[in-house]
Amino acid sequence: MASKNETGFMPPRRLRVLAFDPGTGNKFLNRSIREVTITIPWEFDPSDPNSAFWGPRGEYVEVIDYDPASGAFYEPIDLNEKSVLLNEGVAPSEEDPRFHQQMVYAVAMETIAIFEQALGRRVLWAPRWEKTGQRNWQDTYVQRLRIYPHALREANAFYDPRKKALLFGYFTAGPESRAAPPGTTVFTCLSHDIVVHETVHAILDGMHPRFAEASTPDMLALHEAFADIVAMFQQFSHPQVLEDQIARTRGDLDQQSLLGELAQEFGEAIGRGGALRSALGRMDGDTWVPTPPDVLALTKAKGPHARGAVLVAAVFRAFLTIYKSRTSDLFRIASGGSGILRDGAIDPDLVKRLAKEAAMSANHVLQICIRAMDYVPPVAVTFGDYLRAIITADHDLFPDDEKGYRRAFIEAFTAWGIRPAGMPVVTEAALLWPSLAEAAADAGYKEAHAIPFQAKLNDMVYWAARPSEAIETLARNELIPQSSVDGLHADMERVRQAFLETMNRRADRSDGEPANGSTEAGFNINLLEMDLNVDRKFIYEVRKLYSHLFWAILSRWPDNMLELMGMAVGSFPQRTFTQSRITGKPTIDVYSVRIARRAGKRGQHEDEYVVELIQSRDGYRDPEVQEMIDRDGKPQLTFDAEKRAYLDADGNAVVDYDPEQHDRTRDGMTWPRETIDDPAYHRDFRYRAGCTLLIDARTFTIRRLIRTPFRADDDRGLDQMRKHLSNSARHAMNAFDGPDGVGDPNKAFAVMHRNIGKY
Amino acid sequence: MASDPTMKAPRSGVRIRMYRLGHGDCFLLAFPGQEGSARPPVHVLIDCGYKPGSQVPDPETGEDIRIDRIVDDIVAATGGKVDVVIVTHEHQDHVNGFGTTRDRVPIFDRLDEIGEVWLAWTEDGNDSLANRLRRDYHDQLIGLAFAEERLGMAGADPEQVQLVSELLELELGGEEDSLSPGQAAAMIRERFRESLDKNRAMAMSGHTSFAVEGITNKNAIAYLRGRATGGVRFLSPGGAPVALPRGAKALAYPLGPPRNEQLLTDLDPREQEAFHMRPPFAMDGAAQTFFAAAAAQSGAGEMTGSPFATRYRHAAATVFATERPEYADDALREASGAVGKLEFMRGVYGPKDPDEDPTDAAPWRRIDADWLDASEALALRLNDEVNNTSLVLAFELPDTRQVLLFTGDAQRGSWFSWADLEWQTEDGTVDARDLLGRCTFYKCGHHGSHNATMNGTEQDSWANIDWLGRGRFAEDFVAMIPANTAWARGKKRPWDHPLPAIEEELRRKARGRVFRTDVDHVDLDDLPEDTEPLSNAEKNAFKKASAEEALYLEFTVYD
Repeated sequence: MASKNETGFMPPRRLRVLAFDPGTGNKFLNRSIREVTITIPWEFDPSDPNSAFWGPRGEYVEVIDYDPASGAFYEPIDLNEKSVLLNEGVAPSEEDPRFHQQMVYAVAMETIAIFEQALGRRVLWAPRWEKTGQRNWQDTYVQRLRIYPHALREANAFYDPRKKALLFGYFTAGPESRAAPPGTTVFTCLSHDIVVHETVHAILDGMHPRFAEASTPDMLALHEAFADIVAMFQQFSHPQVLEDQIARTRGDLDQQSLLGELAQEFGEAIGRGGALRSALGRMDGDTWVPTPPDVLALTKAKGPHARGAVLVAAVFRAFLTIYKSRTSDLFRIASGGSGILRDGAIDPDLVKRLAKEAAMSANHVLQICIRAMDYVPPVAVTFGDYLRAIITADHDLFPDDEKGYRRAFIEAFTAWGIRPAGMPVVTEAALLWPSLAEAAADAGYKEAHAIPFQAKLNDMVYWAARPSEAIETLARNELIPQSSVDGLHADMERVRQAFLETMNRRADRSDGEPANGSTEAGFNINLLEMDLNVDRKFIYEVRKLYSHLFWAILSRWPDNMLELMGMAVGSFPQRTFTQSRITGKPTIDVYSVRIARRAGKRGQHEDEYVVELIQSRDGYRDPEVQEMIDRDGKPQLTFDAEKRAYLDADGNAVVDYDPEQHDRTRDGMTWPRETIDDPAYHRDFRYRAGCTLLIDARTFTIRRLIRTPFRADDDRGLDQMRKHLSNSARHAMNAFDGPDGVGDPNKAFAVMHRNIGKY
Repeated sequence: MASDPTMKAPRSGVRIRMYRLGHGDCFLLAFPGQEGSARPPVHVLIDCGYKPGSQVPDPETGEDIRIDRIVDDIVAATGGKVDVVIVTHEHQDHVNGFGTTRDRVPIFDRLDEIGEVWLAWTEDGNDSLANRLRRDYHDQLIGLAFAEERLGMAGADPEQVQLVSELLELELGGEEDSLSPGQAAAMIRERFRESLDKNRAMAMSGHTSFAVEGITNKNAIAYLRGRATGGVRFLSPGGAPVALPRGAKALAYPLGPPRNEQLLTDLDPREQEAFHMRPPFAMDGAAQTFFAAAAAQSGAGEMTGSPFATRYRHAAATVFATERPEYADDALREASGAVGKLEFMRGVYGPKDPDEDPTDAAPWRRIDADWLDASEALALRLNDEVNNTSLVLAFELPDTRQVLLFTGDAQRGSWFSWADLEWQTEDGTVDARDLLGRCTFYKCGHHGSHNATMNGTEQDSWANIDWLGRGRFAEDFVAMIPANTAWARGKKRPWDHPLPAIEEELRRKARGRVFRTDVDHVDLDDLPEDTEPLSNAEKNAFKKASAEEALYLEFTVYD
């Protein structure tokens, strides 16, 4: 390992990227801030420095530069090539595709690093789900997000949830283009903003695969706005980007409008952020005027972009408040106490300090916004929920709001009319999600009743630390059926395999001797806590094992405890639920068991498990059909190959098979023509409800219980979703497709982003 | 009983017949005529077209109603003479009836006479703006036709291919018996290539105009223009109200298509604020880049290549090749390092044919056809823009001054343009808000789609559903929706026509008095929530004024 120094330490990889898209960056005025350098620690994406690092294809992402419209692959960059290593990458240049690859790689990696820092765990992409039977789905680990920098010839870039890939487009600037000289090619992959935005979609999809479903008016808006918020503040967290701009405004420094104008300019240059940041302000002649907050904005805003703009504006307002309070002292010092600066260029030291404060404020806001994504319900999130998530997440890490950040968020969100539905007073205390004890008390349980709940949780502490033993105990005492035991054993085997792979790989690196597989005794340590130190594949398998284990434990819980967690239990309430083959009750999906590790104020680790429980029902556009199927269940049709006919539940042939007629598929199945159009056979949407549990890793107390407003068996929630779907059709993207939720959530991003930039 | 097949006009008012062609428009109106001893009614035919395959069954026989029966009925109902034929816009589901032939004879030859033909100003060959719009429109059509071909070759999502083909078919026309699906597009591609082969030196626009001459929709309109004994009129919004022939007293107020180019593009209001507007039918940079690639690889047009220099490019064929004789020499391979790179790219992306190597896990992650997805957006946009060229007419009855609104398929942009219109009449100034406030009959636009009936309130500054039928006119509101819901919903990728929200709003507003092509009988008791049912007297009046036949649904507005 030639380039490693004596201590085995590899210096970080430094790569240059464009801070702005070329249209803005190429202006003479912006020459000094055109580039920023992104630093990626070697261990973060390790590679053997003696062999080529093409692509780049590393631990998290693989850049594949195939341009099918041109029928060409483009020369891949080798990040380990000497001239690249020594020069902080290929020089920024629009004409060299290798720079494009370097840029998407570096910006995506920086985004991933920010999430890992904020969440305290490794970023995993959404797995691939394949249907393996009528009710069975198989998930496969996806190690790398694919990035195709030149996949499309249009003004579009999007995350494709099916392909787990980012697709970027390029196109010719039109005659009225603002982004680039007419006739030149505009590459969306060279826009810092857009690369971050799309990467965030992919990361959020990995955290919350159900967020791409438009179950509330805010759902897609949240996806969009969140991606834009990260893009905006990630740009602001590079202080050198701001320094120049702050200096350039000379004496007339109204810091508020400056940052707002910047945020908008960055986003608008290539069109993408323009719509989302439209609520920040507008140009009045030559001066930029911020839009005053409007409490009614959300009632007027229709469609994901308009609603997302309100959220972006609210977060931006919180940022400005924080920045202002952090810099007011600097202004007083610089102005001799008056706070009003004299005319002329301002002191370069002050410029540096202001830029630094802005960058730090941006970083804080970014961390808060990202952390909050662990504190939202698993489905059907509203902006009000997101506010509660922001406040709770920050509160649990920093119980004292010394700098007033939470106050800033509450003030900004309420000014823009974002508050949780049905909350009479919006205070920090009211916004905090309840703990289990609080929820139990609200549900009318006296304290004594809450104790059995805690006893159940204590079992969990014990079992989480000894997964192998837990499985054996469950099996020995026949607490769960054999099929579940087999499943857990299979999970455990995969964990073991992944562990061995990790160990072997490490051994290869040091001395070439394979590690021996001495894990036969089973894993009797808490595997979840190994999160940041092991391979991501291993983490993936561990999370799966624990979610199944958690499900097994949960299936033994008393109904009143599950009800408290917002689960529909007991007798089979509506036939639109999927019935668990094991408990006979409505199925509960344990969606995710993951760890969130944060450094608290004293540097202590705050470890929490995040567990998501989801229940789903089939939804129908027509309330009468809904009522019928809730009562009688879905008509069942099975294909009998021998009789070549479709049979109903009683085995009577309903329709004969005719290959000419029966070639139409829907919901992954082939249907006879007579039934494909019959609404009873096909749900129109899935209605989901559930809760997120935040569990203290040491004590296993449920710190936060984050439930959707309605339970899955509550028809009010279903009606609300149906109404939303029906209304959203009014704002459909085109005159042919139905409401968002009925369409394919997989295509949501591609359609939402299409042709947003009008050049 | 051998009844008289002619369609009578009420003594005062108008009778409106919606033919049950399927997904498409065909309306016959009978106004009381004032001339001649028998005072025969003045018959106005608005559009005649349908999406092939969308026909509705005859409730008696269960057999699909074919266009021939409908044309025969029109001939019988009018006694062989239609006074005015109005074509709202150049889409298959509005015009293909006029282009249908049997044994090479147009079926509309069964009519003895066609009087006047009314078209929107966008069809006027003497209007320079209209000419420019048409030229741009044709360029886009050709581009789209080539994109469709590519889409079929690239193995794209079949639902998407179907949507693009169908949208294209709407633009090009074609009728079931004469053309198979996709044939219309193939034909114009062929004409384009033929023209290209003949004269390489000719400008692209020359090839385009040669190619589009083959479009069936155009032939349909040409046919009508050729038969108009009373001449062709081009109507513009805000132009003077047009009188019907033979003394019929109703006046037609043209509301659209807007002459404002921006409103023809039908962008979201949000986008209007944020971005500059693109002129309708013009290709922006993105569309140009896209169409260039689509056409280039289809063998038409110049090869427009990659944005990168040759030294950075590896032809896909080279990357996908499994044998590399050109690098057989070890020394050469070592020196260039190229093979390693090629193998790397192929290894990561996968082999040429995704099925070739079953061990490769990546086929589902490939992007071979994704770039062609843009064709769907472009096809939809083109469809919107043509819809917005719809001739929108408000017919005002002379006595009660009730108004019938026929919007064609006009979408948001057109609706937004109406608010500013004014007309000078003998009784003073009439503006759009006043005119639409008197609307008691509404022909629902674009089969009830999402933005062809604008949502809003009476106070809003743009025309919308709440502007229609206000005050004393609110009591009598009736609507007709030309749509075949089962057909639209049963498509592989369902069309939401009509949008349930809009249909429900119309049914609430009309208190149940809404006709739909595929519904044999209007059920006045099946009402949306919170809707006050009609009184018995109102029900009887409605029943008396309507007729529900196998071939058509009919309603009479009494003046």
